[in-house]
Amino acid sequence: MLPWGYIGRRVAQTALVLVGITLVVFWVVRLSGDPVLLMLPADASQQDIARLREALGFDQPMYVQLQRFVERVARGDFGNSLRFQEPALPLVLERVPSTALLALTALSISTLVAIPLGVLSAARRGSAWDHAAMFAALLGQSMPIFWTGIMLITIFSVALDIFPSSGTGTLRHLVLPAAALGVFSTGRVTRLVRGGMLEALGQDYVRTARAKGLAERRVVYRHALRNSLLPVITIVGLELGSTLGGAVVTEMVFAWPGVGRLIVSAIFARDYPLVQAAVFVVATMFVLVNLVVDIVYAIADPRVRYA
Amino acid sequence: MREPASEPAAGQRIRALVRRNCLGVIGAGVLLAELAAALLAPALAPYPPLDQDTARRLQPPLAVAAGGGRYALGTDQLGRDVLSRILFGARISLLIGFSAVAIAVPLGVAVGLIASYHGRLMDDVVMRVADVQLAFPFILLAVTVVAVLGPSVGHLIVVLGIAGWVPYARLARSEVLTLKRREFVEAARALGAGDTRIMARHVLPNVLTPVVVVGTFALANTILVESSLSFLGLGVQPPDPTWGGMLSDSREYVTAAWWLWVFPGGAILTTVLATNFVGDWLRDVLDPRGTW
Amino acid sequence: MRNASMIVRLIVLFLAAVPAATAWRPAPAAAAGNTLTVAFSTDIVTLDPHQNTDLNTMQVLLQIYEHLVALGRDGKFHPVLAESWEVVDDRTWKFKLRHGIKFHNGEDFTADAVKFTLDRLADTKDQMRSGPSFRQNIAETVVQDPYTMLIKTKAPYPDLLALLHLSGAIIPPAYFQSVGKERFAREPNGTGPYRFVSWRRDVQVTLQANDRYRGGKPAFAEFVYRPIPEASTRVAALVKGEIDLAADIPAERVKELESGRNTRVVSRAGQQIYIGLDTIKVEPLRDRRVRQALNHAVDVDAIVRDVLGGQAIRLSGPMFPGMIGYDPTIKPYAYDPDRAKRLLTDAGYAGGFNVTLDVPVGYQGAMKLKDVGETVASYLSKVGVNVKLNLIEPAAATERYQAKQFQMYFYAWGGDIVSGRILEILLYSKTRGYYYQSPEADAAIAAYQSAMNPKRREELGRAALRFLHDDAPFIFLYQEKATIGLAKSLAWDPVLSDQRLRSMEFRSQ
Repeated sequence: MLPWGYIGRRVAQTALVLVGITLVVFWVVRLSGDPVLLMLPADASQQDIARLREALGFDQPMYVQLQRFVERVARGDFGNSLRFQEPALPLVLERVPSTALLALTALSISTLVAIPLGVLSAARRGSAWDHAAMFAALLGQSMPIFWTGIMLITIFSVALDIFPSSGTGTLRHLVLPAAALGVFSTGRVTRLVRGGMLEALGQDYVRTARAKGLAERRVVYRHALRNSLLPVITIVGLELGSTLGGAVVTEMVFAWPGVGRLIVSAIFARDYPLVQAAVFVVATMFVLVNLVVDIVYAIADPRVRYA
Repeated sequence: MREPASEPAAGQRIRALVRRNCLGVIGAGVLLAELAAALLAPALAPYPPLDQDTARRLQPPLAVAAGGGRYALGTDQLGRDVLSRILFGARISLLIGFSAVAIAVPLGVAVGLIASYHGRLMDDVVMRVADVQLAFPFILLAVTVVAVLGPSVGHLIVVLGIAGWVPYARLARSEVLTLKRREFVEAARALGAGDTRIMARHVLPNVLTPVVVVGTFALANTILVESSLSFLGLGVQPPDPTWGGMLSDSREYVTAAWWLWVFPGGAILTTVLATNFVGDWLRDVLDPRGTW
Repeated sequence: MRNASMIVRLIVLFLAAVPAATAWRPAPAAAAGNTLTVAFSTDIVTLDPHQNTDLNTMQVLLQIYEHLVALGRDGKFHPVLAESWEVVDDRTWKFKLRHGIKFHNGEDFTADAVKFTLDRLADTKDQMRSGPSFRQNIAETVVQDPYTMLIKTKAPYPDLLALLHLSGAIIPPAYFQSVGKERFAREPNGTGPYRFVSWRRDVQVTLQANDRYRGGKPAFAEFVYRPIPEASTRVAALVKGEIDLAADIPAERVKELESGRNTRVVSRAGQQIYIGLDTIKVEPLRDRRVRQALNHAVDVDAIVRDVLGGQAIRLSGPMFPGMIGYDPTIKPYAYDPDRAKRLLTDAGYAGGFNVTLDVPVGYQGAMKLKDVGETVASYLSKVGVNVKLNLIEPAAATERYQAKQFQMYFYAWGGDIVSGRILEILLYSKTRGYYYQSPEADAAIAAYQSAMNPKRREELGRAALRFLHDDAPFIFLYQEKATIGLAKSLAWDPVLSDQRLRSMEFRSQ
């Protein structure tokens, strides 16, 4: 029985959220400074500057700019990037697959590493294995991502020459950046899996199964595992958010052609239309993922719905 | 529920507690030591952390430099003593960490309580604002604040604090929603207890425990975020040292001057590990069943 | 619970399968070993040479498009697309053009192309971003026959050749009109040694050798431009041999690359760095003695040696080697803190004063300005001038500069050689005049910028530069050496030590 009321409400609200984000970005980005001066050469005169500002519409009062912006966005037009002089939205969209690939691979790596690690830790709770696994997981979480990336390049690319140092194009180019990005989530997910396993293993039926012998135990382990994975869904949503944030730095260190890198250079250049388009796209991705996660969780666990 | 066992002597119980959670105790000890070092930095630091002399730059640890000084952890690219900078860096890094959390927690809890206590519309509105907040790229917020207001420790704390309220709001909200349906709340209401009283006596104490755990983990996180901001050029102003800034500045010296990154990196690593151990310990103590 | 577990399984499967299943663009097929790969810190911005003000983008455009003239090793201009030229009168230049040159698509190069180019650059209605100097100085272009033309300037303009050398990329009129300006900015077509193949944003730009190039067959079959933002990654790529040339090497890595097995380092003239002084609004800085004191108070040689690892040359004024009027006998200010204190006392500031120094920093700001700023502040404090450092983001810096909010500020000039533009832009009060207004400087600069006679220009240049050295509108610091890392297998014989790469100067060894 799907909670249609809840789903409907959340979907409608998601639309509102996106509108809200777009308006906030519009305002915030204009607060951050004037782009016109950055686009002209040193020998530009005051008139040149004024002309360009007028041509781009930045001489208009805020409410006029906002009105034009809203009208165009309603048509799907985010204007032209100030630097590239090409439509902003397509520039962002063509980068999304790269970042998505990087983020999802990172999440996959961290999940695939975290699950066995978490299970192992839980199975041998309190032992040296447990501590070692936890320590290893924590290690990755203790360094800023740019540092992990630089270290990985220094060791695995320059010194050992196993992987390329940067760029994209083959599977091998993906490994180091995804590892750097994934290492961060691994700790959190490992701990979650471990916690879930411990809880599941602590239940009565498990103890009974243990008493009864090995074969029972295996079945029970699998059942415990399945249950402990439920919180992993929520984590996916949360981790995706921080992974997208980490992607920014990772893309810069590894010269990965994604949205994160685009956002950073657009922000530093005050390329308003591009920043607006990029934030809109990234926010949409994020909000949609959260929406899906919330709905799935609501289906599975009615307690969290407001009733 | 715990069964009342026979009461062992207090000393034995403490020892048992410590043995079972030795990592947490170690972590707490480390954090306290760091706090002490930060507070006592002016007394402990062998040299002024901002004092530069390019003639004694990039000295390895324990080397004797021109001018006769001995630098326990070496000197950096401008001739400043690494040990002293790490001690003073502790001040700023920990200050930023604690302050940001100190802003985010009350803000988040307050918002979460208000949201969930006052009806579905309010709850939806606040949760959607939280979504906007989370979906908004942190770097954009950081750059704007820095560009408009200038990069200073205070502004950094504000940005980090404001950006971090959502997890606490969620915790508070989930606590309220669970409790709302409990009978004793209905009973208390029937008896005429006001909302504030109910919040203060029943909700807040239950919210506090998960919040403390999450807040502990958040401390480590802000140190790492500050480091990434330094990497992008948006971190703390010179010449003030922070661990994250020192790590970021050292990235061209990875092989040439290892002491420039090993020590700040080690400090960050230790702090993050310590806060994680403490957080785990708190969680074990306060919520052994692992509901959060 | 069953629903949930199924969903969980699906999600885990999805996460594991995504990387494998995602459609992946294959790596661009590398030419059989004969590729020149260069890496810079940012991606190119456009392929329209007239709309570009970004230096890194220029590195690609220089291989595709050519100009009328080029500066030679001897400091004189040499013919490229033009064959010869003469000054007809104060405001008229006559150019004879080369025959038999074709654009990459086969279109012929004639005087029409030059007229079309200059008209576009000088157009005041549809303003080109790289056009200000053209708009300000070019009056009209006249085609006399397919290979002869006249360029008329609004006022005597001795720097015309310099302008053409720097910014006058010749574009094909027929092609431009047939594809329109949007496509032209994505599909360039020039006369240069390499033709455009593809541009994958943030990944690479690929160019292919133009076998019909007038200057001979290029040594490499392919020219590849890769943007790698993080400096340590660029260095890693060079060390591993993934690229042949890495620009903007941090000073700390120079020794390592110089002693590397497969790498070497070349220094080129980089940006000039000054500390500008607000001589109008900040009371102490109005006095020339104070400004000179500041120059004496800072040990720039030590900064160059220690902070910059020797990767810079001291400047004695707003001028640099190669500039007309550059006088090597004008020495930079000596480091003399006692003299500085005396000058301050003479001017009435024995107790020093407080001032703010704005330092633009950021991920792609000029290297090490933060460190230099800290060091300068520490020197100035020793003579009683208390400097408060203000770190600002580069974009914010431009804005504050224009709004005249600076007291002391770091300024970087991306030096183009042989041009009085730096004087015009930074110090001529009619163009900017934000922080410095001096009638003598104005007169000197105006005379220098309009003297058509080279010898007279040289004299006027020296006079102007000497005056500016003495009047000290800036704290004169240094010209950075732009360090470029190269693979040892790459031979490079650069004609000029400027910031531009010319692919014909490279070959394998």
